Parts: sequence; C-alpha cells; structure tokens
Amino acid sequence: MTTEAKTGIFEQLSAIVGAANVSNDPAVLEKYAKDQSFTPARKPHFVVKPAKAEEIQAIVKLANQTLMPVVPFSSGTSFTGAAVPSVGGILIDLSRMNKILDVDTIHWHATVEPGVTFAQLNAELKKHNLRVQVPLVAPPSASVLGTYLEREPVPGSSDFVYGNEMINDIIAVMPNGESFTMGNIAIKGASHTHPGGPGLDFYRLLVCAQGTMGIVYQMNVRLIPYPKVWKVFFSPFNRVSQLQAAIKKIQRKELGYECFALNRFDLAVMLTDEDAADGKALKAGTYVGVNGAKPWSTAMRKRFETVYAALPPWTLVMSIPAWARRPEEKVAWQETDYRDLAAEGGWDVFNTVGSIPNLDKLLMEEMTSPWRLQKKFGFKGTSQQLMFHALGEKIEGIENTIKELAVKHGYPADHIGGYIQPIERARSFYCIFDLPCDPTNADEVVRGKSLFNEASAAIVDKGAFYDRPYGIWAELMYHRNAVYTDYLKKLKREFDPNLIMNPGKLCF
Amino acid sequence: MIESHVIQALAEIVGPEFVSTDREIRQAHTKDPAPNITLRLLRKDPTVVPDAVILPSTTEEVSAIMRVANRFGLKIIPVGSGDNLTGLCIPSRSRSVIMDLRRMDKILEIDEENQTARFQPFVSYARLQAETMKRGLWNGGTPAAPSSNTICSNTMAYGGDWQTSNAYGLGTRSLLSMTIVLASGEILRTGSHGINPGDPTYWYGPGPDLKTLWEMLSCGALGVCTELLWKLHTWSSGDWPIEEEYHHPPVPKNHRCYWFRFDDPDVAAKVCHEICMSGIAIGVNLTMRSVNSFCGEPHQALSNKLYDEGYYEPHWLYVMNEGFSKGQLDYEEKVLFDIIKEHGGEPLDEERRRKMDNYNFDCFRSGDFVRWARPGIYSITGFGRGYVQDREKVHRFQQSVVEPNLKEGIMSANTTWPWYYAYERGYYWLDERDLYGDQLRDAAVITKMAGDLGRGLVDAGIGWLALFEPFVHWHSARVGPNFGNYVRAVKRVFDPKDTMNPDKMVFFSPPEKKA
Repeated sequence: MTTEAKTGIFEQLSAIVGAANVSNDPAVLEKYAKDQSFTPARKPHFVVKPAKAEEIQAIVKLANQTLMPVVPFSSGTSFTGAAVPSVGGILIDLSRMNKILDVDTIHWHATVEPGVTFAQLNAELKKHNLRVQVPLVAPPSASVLGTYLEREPVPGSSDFVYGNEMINDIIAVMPNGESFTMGNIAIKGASHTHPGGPGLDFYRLLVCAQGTMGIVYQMNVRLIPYPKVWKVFFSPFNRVSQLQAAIKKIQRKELGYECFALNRFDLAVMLTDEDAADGKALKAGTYVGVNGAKPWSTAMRKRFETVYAALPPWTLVMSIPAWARRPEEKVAWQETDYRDLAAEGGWDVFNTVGSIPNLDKLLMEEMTSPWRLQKKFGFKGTSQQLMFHALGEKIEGIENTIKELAVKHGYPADHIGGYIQPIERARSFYCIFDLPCDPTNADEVVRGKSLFNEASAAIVDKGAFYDRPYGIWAELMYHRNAVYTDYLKKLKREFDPNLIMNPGKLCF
Repeated sequence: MIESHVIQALAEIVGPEFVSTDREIRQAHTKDPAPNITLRLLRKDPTVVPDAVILPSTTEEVSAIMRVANRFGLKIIPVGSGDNLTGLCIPSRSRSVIMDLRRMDKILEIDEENQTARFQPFVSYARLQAETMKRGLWNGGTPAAPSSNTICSNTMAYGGDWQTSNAYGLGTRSLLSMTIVLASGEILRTGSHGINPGDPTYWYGPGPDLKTLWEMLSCGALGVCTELLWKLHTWSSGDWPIEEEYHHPPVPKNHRCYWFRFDDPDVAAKVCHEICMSGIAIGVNLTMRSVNSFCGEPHQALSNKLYDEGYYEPHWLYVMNEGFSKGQLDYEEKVLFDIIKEHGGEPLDEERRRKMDNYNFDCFRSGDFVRWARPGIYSITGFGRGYVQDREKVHRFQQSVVEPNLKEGIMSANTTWPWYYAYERGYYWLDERDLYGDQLRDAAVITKMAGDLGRGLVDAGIGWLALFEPFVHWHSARVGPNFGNYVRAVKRVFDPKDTMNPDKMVFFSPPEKKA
C-alpha cells in the first residue's frame, strides 16, 4: 500500500473515531501483531478504538470502500491467533465499548458491550447476588462477550440448562456495515428471551466465527445466583476411563452443578502459591502478555513439586450448590444421593485431596471468579493448548496419544496439563491438554511446535473434534468435510462479498 | 404436468412402485385445514395438487431425485408426517413433486453410553420414546402436536416445543447433527457427524454453525433432512405410557403431578416465575379456560356446555416433578407448596383434576392436541416468546385483537386466552394464543383474523417462537429490511433455482430492493 493511500485511510478513520483513537505507530501495532499461539505474527496497518456502534459501522463501510481487512479484537486473552491479523488491515479494538447496559435481576440477564470483562460484570452483579458464569481458564480480564461468542465451556456446562446456551441475543455490525439484531429483541419492545430469529436462527453463524461473519457489539447473557449453601467434593482417579464412567453415572442422575476433573499438573498449578510479586497481575488478569508470562521462580517451582507429588493422577471436582429455596435441604439430599451413587460405583468421595486444607473454599472461588490457572503460562513462559470435544470413552486414547507423541518429541509427559469438562449431562466432554513451552529456548519451541502440530492431527483420528477450528485445526476439520466447507464459503461470499472480515481465518 | 420420461427417470431411482402420478394419490397429498390452503382450494387453485408423489428410502435416493429435479425444473416438497396444519407441505407451483419420507422410518442407533439417538426423518415422537424409555432414556417430551408427528419435521418447522421444556428447552436444544440433501443433490453433514458420520460428539460447527439454518422455519426450503442425531435425557420410570389406560393414565413412576387454580392471573404468574427460579420441576404450564375445556373433555358438545357453565376456571397451573430419588421428589414438593403458601393458589379439586388426567399425559406423549382439529373450527396459532409476568403486553394484545374480533363475531366465544409453558428454568416462556373461527367464513374474514393476530403479537412486543404463515408477512415489516435480505441470501446459497418447497415461511416473497 502506498503511503498516500495509507494517509488517506488514517485521516478517514480519524474522522470517524477521533485522532486519539487511531494509531499507526509501529510500537502500538506491534502489541496487536501476535499472541502466544504459533500463529505467525503480522501487524495490522491501523488500530482503531471505536466507542459506539455507529463508529464500527462507519469503519466497516470504509473498509469495504478501500478493501482493507478488518479484525475485531475484544480483550486479547484467548491466545488462539483469532485476533492476529493474517494480512494486516484495520484492527478494531473494542475495549472502549465497556458498558454494562442493563441488569435484569428478576429474569437474571445482563446486556454487555464487548469491552466488559468478567471481573467488571461480576463486581456489578455481586450487588444483586447474581453472577455471570466464567470458564475455569478465562482470566478476570477476559471479555464476557468475546468468550461467550467463542463458546468456551464453563464449570457448570455439565448441566443441561444453566451452563450451556447462555447467549440471549446479539447485535452485530454485518460485513456490509449494517447493524443486525438477532433474537427476540429484533421486535421492538420484546424481551431478551431467545437468540433465535428473525426468521432463521442467524446468530450461530456469528458464534465461533472469529469475527469472520460480523462484529458483535452487544450481547445479552444469562446469569445465575450465588449459592446460599455450597459443598464441594473431591474424588481421586488413576485413569481417565474410570473418571469419565463415574462422571456419566453422576450426570445420568442429574446430580450437583459444577462437575469437572483436573489432572495432577493442572491442579498442582492451581494450588501452588504464586510469588508475592505476581499476585496482583494474576488477579487483574494481566499476568499473561503477548509474549507469554514471566517464568516461575525456583522457589515457586519447588512449591509446585511438593504439591504435585501429593496429588492423584486425576481429581474429580463435584460441586453441590443451592441458590434457591430450602438450600440446606437441597444440598443434603443431593449429598446423600451422591454418596450412595459413589459407594455403588466404587469411587471415594473426600473433602480434599493431597491433604490440602480448605481445598473446597479455593475451588469455590475458582468456580465463580477464576484466576489461578493463568499460572500455568509461567511454568515455562508459555503454553500451547489442545482444546477439543470428545466422547467420554475416547478421552483416554486421546490422552495416551498425546503422551506418546510428547515422549517422541523429547517432551516431559508429566508436565502436560489436563482439564476435562463434561457437557450436557456428559453426552460429550470438553478437554484442554496444555503443553507448556519455553519461548526463549529455540530448540524447545521447534519441538513444541512439532508436538503440537502432530498431536493436533493425530487426536482427530482418535475422536477429537475441534468445534472452534483455530489455526492449523481449521485445515484438519474443513478438509474432512468438503460440502460443509464449500457452503460456508458460499455463505461468506453472500454476506461479505469483499471478504474484508478477518480474512485468513477458518476456511476463508 | 411432468413429462413421462422425467417420471421414468424418477422411477429408476426409487422403483416404479414408489412414484405415482395417479390423481387420487396426488389429491390425497393436498389435505391441510390451514386458512391459506382452504382459501386456495375455494379459489380452485390447480397448483395445490402436486404433479407427482415420490417415496425415497435412502439419503442417496433423495440425492438422486434432487439431481433429476434440477435437470428438469421440478419443485420438490418434502413431507414428514404432514400434520403441521399450516399448509407447509402443500404445493404452490406447477411441476411440483411431493417427496413423502414415510419409508425413511428407521431408528438407526440408540447410544445408551452417550445418551444419543440416530434416526431417519419419519421416526415419530411416540416411536422414539417407546424405544428409548425401555432403556431408561427419552427424548425429553412430546410437542404440542400428535405423538405421530415426526421429530424431524416438527423441529424444522416449529423448533419442537414441549410441556417439559422447563427442564429440556426447545427441541432444537436436543438436535445434535443432521444429514441434509441440498437442492444440488450434495449431502451436507453437520457438527462432528460431518467429520465422522454418526459421531454425536459435538453439535456446532466446525466454526460457524450451518445446522442453525435448518432448525426452525426452514421447512424443507433449504434441503431435505434424511438423518438426525438427537440428545436423549434420563427417564426414571421404565416402560411408559400404558395404552389401555389412555384416558386416565397413571402418573409415571418417580414423577409427581400437581394442579392449582388461581383467581388472580398476577398471582398465577408470580407463582410460575418463582417455581422456575427455584430450579424445580420438569414441566410448568399455566393453562387458560379454553385449553382446559379442549383438553379436559373430548366430547365437543359437552366441552362447550361445561365451558359455558364456568366449569373450567380461567387460570390453572400444572406442575410436573421428576425425581431420581425420594429425597428429590420430597424436596421439590416442599418447595412447590412453600411457594403456593407464600403467594396464593389452591390445589384443584379431585373431580376436575381427574378430568385433566389425559392432559397430564401430554407432558410425555401428546394425545390431546388431535382434539383441537374439531369439525367446523379452524385455529390460527401464534407463538410468542416472553415472560409469564408480561401482563401489560397481554392486555395490549387482548384489547387490540381479541376484543374487537369477539365484538364483531369473527371469533368464536371460547377463543383462548394465552397459555404459557416455561422454558429452560423460566429464562423464557412460550406464550401461545389460538384463535378459533368458523371454517366456512369468507376469505376476507379469515385474512383479517390472521392479520390481526400477526400484527397484534408483534405490536404488543411479545416476540415470536415459531414464525409460520401467515405471521411472517406482518413480521417482516416490523424487523426491518435486513431480515428479508439475509434470509434471501441464505436461500440463494442453498437453493439458487428455488427448487425446494418454494413460497413457504420466511422464503415467501420475491426479492426486495436493498435498503
């Protein structure tokens, strides 16, 4: 692009959002050029920070006129390469749009803009004894809208109603610059009750779309109350096959609410006390940056080894909260039923594992306002994540495949993080396997990348499904379903004829 | 009229015994009491009768038929159980072929381990329930439709709403994946089923989810669904229901059923909301006088008499609890009665409660909705999505639509009030309004009634659940030009030649100018 053309666009963007909210300063652009994933770094040409929908619309219309790509960016905490520009263009940083537009305490929902973080929303909701459900792996600084748009499961996703479909409606700027309201509220005066419509259920074309189908600038999300009475139980398991069978039994009886499992590495990371200097950043959600996180101190690593040694290979976390009427009675019958079920199924139910004191209290905090799993990024400086869905009985095979490949690539199999989250009564499971890596060690980066790429492909054959195909997973998924891919592309051409919306992502 | 060599081409795909141009067979496929179809029949519109009827048995046969249709300019109208009563499966163009899916009636797999089922489009709610209940599972309910209704077409037309939706949501929540034969003849598979056919792992994507376009209102206008993967839920009661006790079926094991009556609708609404927010019950349904009279008494004359005598009061609440243990059932019962004690309402007397036994049945296997198609009466149904407490909107609707029509004698006296189903623990409610009229009324009256209902729902700010004919006409003007533009963009992508069930639902009108 010529300097003259760039100057013209800069001026037009300045006219839209004000000069203070546009930048083409290389130092600023550099901050948006990469994240921790293996996605190749690429600077945008401009970064703009709109404050309202009309400004996004004007930017998108300008992008169509000038054929500049646009890349939406909310909080930049997902580390999957989705907001790293593939071909430059205008990066739209939505962090200034950070208002909580309304909270309905009767029907339990809130309307938020893209810049609203989990910490911000939960602080507001706490006044009403309500909460937004946060994925265990999302930092406090993560965007509620961005996270929900990418369907990151929450600890309560094991339930059929509360922890799954949490979007009530969305409003988006479509690729042609028009604003489009999806859901019941498309009718004037109607309530925030359902994301479907108008006519067809369009909203799921924008979900898991990495900003390729439009820019969502408003979302209404469902809330739940804080528990009045709450008990959390822990069960050790040696093998994933036994663990998933137990989870299926629990879910078949529709017991408890939050239900998930952490392997020894992930739980040890969660429980290891951070160095005092890092506490503030962890709780603010700023511990991990585009270059990764500050590696742990030797003292912290020692603390980790002690905790790690005391933990079982897998720990099942079973939570029984009660937020409505007769809470003690609810927890009591659920605990009785759960203990009966465990006795029948042959697994132990404890109040902790590894003799860790107050483990239930710590998990309660993590299930409402998580921050501790960010620490895993500091184990070596960064971490690559394999995130997929699989049927319960296939997870052990997938875990073994990852471990075998780790050994092949000279990677310590003991240092692989594992998180298993049943969804919708355990008909399926969401899994995250973490591969910590030292970004300053060139040899380790090469080995880590080979392992990540090879494992990503190998586990698909073992039953892993990437519903959010970031980076190289897009090819792994779309090459296996040509008709789906073809029609997705045809739809994209209808909605975005100039192909300006975050090009290079998914199959576009 | 379709040329004989085209019929021959179709016969070569399915076998000559499964394609027909016989007049009686073709006419047998034009039955639908919907007002718009009644009007077209009265006007002797010849396109109401298809030119041929074909019965494929496999996905591959459907695909081959679509290729023939493309080559010879046929219009294909896929039909499941064909009892939608809104004219969705009735042709509107010449060279129309009804694709009757009744041979595709197999339950292919029930995966007990992962609580999913895989089946063909002609599998009915009743059949899937009977098969899954034997295994301690079920599909979560039966919609407000006969239990012979196919799961596939009900979901694609209405999203599959049911009385147990407080726990299980709309049917689309349970729809995991689909196999769809597109207008081009290509076979599209969604979710993980698209990566590894038959795999129920995940229902979205990969990436943007195309299945969303088929879940509600597509009505065969974007392709023919030939296989579904479905989420099953735990059923705690063993084999059920019992045929020989049809009129007074027992409440299933591990279930408890409660009825309450209310004088004040605001109290009823408050109780409904509190029950849902307490996280109990699988079904919470607030029914109004007319629904009660239809469902409580099968004999029409008696039903009308009882209605006139005030036997059925305005507000009855029906709550169904399911428990996997006695502890759960006892706890939920205590919570329910706490709420009643706190806010008001009283248990319905035994005689009238027993009258509604058959309606209890509907939570699990709908039997009553067939009674609604009574001789001489047609109904226009509007579904809204809102909150049970929206009294102000109900008033607005009542004043603007129901009262004027009652005054002019257009609606029958027992025109229903809205009735409500709780969805997903009360995060939203289905708000259904049925308007009953005389089948033999003239066209202008039918049109007025439909128009008033369509406009009324939208103007009152109630929203919609299923936006079927004729409401889509009034809806379009209220939600702006994007609605039409994006709907047509989708149709262009999946069916550029308008081969699939033309003129239906949201795909009803010629392209408009871009706004």
